[in-house]
Parts: sequence; C-alpha cells; structure tokens
Amino acid sequence: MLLLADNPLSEQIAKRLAGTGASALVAVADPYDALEAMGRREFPVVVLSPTAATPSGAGEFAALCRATRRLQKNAKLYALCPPRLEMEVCELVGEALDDYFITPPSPADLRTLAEPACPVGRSESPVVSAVEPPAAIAAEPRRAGVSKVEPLSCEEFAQLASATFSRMDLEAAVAAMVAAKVKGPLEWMDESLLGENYMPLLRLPAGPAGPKADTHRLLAATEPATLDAPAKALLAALERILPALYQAAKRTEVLHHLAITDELTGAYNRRYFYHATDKVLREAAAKNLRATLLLYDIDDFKTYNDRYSYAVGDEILRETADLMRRITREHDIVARIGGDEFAVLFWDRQPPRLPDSKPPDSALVLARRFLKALHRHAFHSLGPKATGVLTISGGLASFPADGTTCRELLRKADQALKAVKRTGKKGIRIVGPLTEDAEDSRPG
Amino acid sequence: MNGRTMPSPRRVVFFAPCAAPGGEGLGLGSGSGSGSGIKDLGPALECVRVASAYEAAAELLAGPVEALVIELRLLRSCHLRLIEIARRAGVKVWGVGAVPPWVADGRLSGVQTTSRAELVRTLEALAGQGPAEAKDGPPKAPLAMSGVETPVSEPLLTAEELSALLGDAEQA
Repeated sequence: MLLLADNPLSEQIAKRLAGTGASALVAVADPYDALEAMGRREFPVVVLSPTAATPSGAGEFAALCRATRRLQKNAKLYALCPPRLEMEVCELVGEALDDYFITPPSPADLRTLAEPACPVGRSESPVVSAVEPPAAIAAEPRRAGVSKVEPLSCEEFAQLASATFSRMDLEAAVAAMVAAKVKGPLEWMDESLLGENYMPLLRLPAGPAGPKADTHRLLAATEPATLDAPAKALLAALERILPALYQAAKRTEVLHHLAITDELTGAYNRRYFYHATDKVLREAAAKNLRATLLLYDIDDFKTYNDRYSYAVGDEILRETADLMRRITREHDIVARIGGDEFAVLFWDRQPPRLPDSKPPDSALVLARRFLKALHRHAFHSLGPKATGVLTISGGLASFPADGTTCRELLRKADQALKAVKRTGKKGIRIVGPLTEDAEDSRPG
Repeated sequence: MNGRTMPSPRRVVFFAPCAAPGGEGLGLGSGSGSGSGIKDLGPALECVRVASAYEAAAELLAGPVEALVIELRLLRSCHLRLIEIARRAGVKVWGVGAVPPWVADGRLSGVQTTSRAELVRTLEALAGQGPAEAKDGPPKAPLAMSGVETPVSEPLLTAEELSALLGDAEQA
C-alpha cells in the first residue's frame, strides 16, 4: 500500500495498520514522492490525504487523484480526509476515487484499507490481509474508477425534486429516504433544539444557502443508529444536493404565495378562495363539520376614494383585511374577492359536540366581533377623529343548508348582503328573512 | 503480425489550462490520458494536454515523453519538482510565456523559454523526425529550438491551434 499523508497522520496510520495484516506500507509525505513511487511500481491500494497535496485545495487534490489514476490503473484509490474537507472529497468518489475515509479512520476503515485488492490481470499482491473485509463492502464487486455504492439513484433524486413544493415537503421526503436506510425514527429540527440523545445525521447550513436564515437545520436520529456504507453515501450526497433543493423549495414557496394572495391586502385572492373553500367543504361533508361563508363589503367605499384618494382607499382595505385576520382563527380563510368585497369562510375543525347545534353560531359570533373591532378602530388615514365612521354590510350563508359549493354559498351570502344594503347597510345578515340576529349584529 | 514493433508517436505534454473558448475545433477533451486532452497530429506526434502539474508529472512518469511544454504562469513554487522529474527523465522542457516574478534565477534551470512561434517550428521539426523508435527512454538527440527547417509543406500546428493547446488564445 502507498500512503501519502502528513507525517503525524502517516505514523498513526502505520501504527494502526500494523495489527491488521497489511504489509509493505510505503508512506510518503510529498505528493511528488508519491507519484514517483507510483511510477516505479504498482500498488494494490493507494491512500491519499488531501492535506498533503500542495497547495491544499479541492482542485489540487482532484488533480493529484487523476494523476494517481493515470499511474495506478488497477489500484484501489482511497482518500483519507478531515471532516472539514469531506464535501470536496466526496465529490471525487466515482470518477477519481474509489472511496474516502474520515480521519481518524475507524477499525473498520483500516480493515478496508488493508484488504487485498485482487486487481484484474495481476496474480500477486504485496499486501496480505488476515482480516475479512466488512461484509457490506466485500459484497459489492468494484471496478476501478467506479464507486462501490451508488449514493442516490435517479429515481430518488426525482423523488426529492418533486418534493420541492415547500421546505416542509422536502424535509419529509428526505427524512423518509434516510429512514429507509438508517432504519430508525428521524426528526428534523433546528440545531438549538438538538437533544442529548439525538444523533445528528445531516447538518444544513444557515443563511441564504440553507433552509433557514438564522439557524442550522439538522436531521437527527432520535435513537442510536448504525450507519452502513450506503447510508453514509446517501447522507454525503444529500448534504451536497440539499442546499440547491432547498433553494428551489424556497422559490416555489414564494411563487406559490404570490399566486394565492392579494398583493394589496395580503389576504388570499379570489382564485385561491374558491379552490380552498371547495376543498374545505368536501372535508366538511365527509366529517360533518360546520362551515359558514361571510361575504361583506365596505359601505360607500367609493366615497372614500373620491373624497380622500385611492391611497387612502387602499389603506382602508389593508386595515380592514388586517382586522378581519386578527379576529378569525388561523384556519379560517379570509380573501379579497374583488374591489372592496371580502369573503371569509369560517369552519370548525371538529364536528359539533351536540348534533342539534345551530350551524352559524360561531361564525356569527366572529362576525359580531369583527363589527365591534371595526367600530372601535381608528382609521388614521381618514383624519384624527376617524373612529367608528367606517361600516360594512355583509351576508352569511351556511353549509350545507344554503349550498354545498363555494359558488352556491357566495350567491346566497350575496343575497343576504343585498338585503342588508336595502335595509340601511351597517350590519351582517344571515341568509333568509330578516332576523333578530341580523338586527343584533349592527353596531350600537 | 510480422514480428516488427510498431513505432510509437513522439509524445509532447502540454501543461496548460483547459481549452480556451474557440479551442473546441481541435477535437480536444477526450483521450486516453485521464483528464487529458489529446490531439492526434498524425503518426509522428501526439500532444497530451493536462491542466495540473501533478498530471503532467504523471504523464512523464507513465511513459516516454519527448518534451514538456509549460505555460509558465501556471507554475507555482511548490510544483518546481515537476521540472526536476522532467530533467531526470531526459525530457526537454519548454516554457512559454512570462517567467513568474517569484521564480528566482536558476530555479528554472533546464527550462528553455521560447515564444509560441518558435515552439510551433520546433514541434514541426519534431514531427518531421518521424515516430519514435519503439522503445522506452528519453529522446536520443537533443532538439534544436530554432533554425530548424520545416520538412512538411503544411504547418503541423497553426498558431491558433497551439494557442488552444496552451489554453490561451488571446495571448497568441
């Protein structure tokens, strides 16, 4: 075996290899000494340390590996690298290297280094190993220049690429892929939350290149796990490709957000409201959930635009949308569906505890709360005393009594809204004849 | 099979950056040397281009090489050993371009600095000598760098082709 390494590392390896059965170790510290030694004879195994390549750098080391391949076509070519250089060295596996090991090498690594090379066309090897190579590695025949482990198949890559719809989807896909190899429970977490018993497997950078700007993201095994060669290769490959996939996922998230939101108010847009509402209604039908749609607009909104300005009108729309978002629950859907017209789908995630509960109760409570908040809110853009001047009119339609699709509910809610307008505006009315509820919902 | 050993082309190793834009027309980029670009210039001369000093050294150590052409600006002090290897192997070393400022007098001993035009003429002369004898070892006779008559009617390498081999067409 030929070993190119800095002196302390070289001595350490030589000492540790002494007990493995490896013999005829030629250790050199200068890359040109190594090349000259390779020019004189063939070695079954060549181990190179990138720190010995001068000047130390990924490009120089890759060149040294290619030079080694040129001279030692049949040798197994390994790199012995410190963890900080793993990413660069890992990229050379396959074309320029057979494999790499992290310093200090484990006993299993040393056994692999000491195993006979059995190169094609040669009958004798100066290295004789008394130790069986690890089964996982010995099971796979190697060819010079071809990695023993395919770290990531095309199918697996396609699976990850198709999960770049969001960072969450991507993390789930990665966790599933790694879990299949590690065979244990895994969890993604911010580095600061890493528990003592957790075993970090993947560490992704913070900042623009990573999934989060402010913290490293970790995939960790929640129980002690053993990593075999394929698992290590997969993790190394993932560490290389995930930053780019995260970038793709982040871009998709941004584009998705732009596609579903109203730019002016930050509420959802009409297209998304239809899509999301119909989806919720299908779930509501299946699980007997309650859902109520509120359609409202700002009374005499045109006069604000005319009297003040469009900028003031825009400000009113923004503040009104903010108020509505504040009083609704996180899962309710608030959307601007055109001009000064907004729609809200209130829905309960759990079915009613009592079968005969009145469906619109919670929606009406929330709608009243919104009216009160609106009544108290000071619209500074309308002047220093602009509190309680802005009013809305709205109509409520309940699922499934008033309709089972977004379109049907909107039509019914619009009828109720028009009825409120006819009777003096400033209130919210449930579909159907004028009720006490509608009267009560008007701010006092 | 008549028992005669086929003559092998004379090999010239170019230590130069990867092909500059426009150098693709030479058909570089694939060849028998790993990571090398090889242009078959007929039966007499084989040019091997490598982008690093380590690979250049490997080419010298791998088999008989007639000459080593170095783009001098690529040479770092830590790679001067390459020249020593060439010298020991009896390989002519031709340096093209400006001598880097860090190179002290004598450190490039054995390297003949030459211009591109001169290098073309020398290579043509080399090709004119025909294939190398089928045996290992350094070239038998030292090569003249200038004043050699070109024995072929067409130039073996144009200035553009040489520039592409050296990976630096703009400096041609």
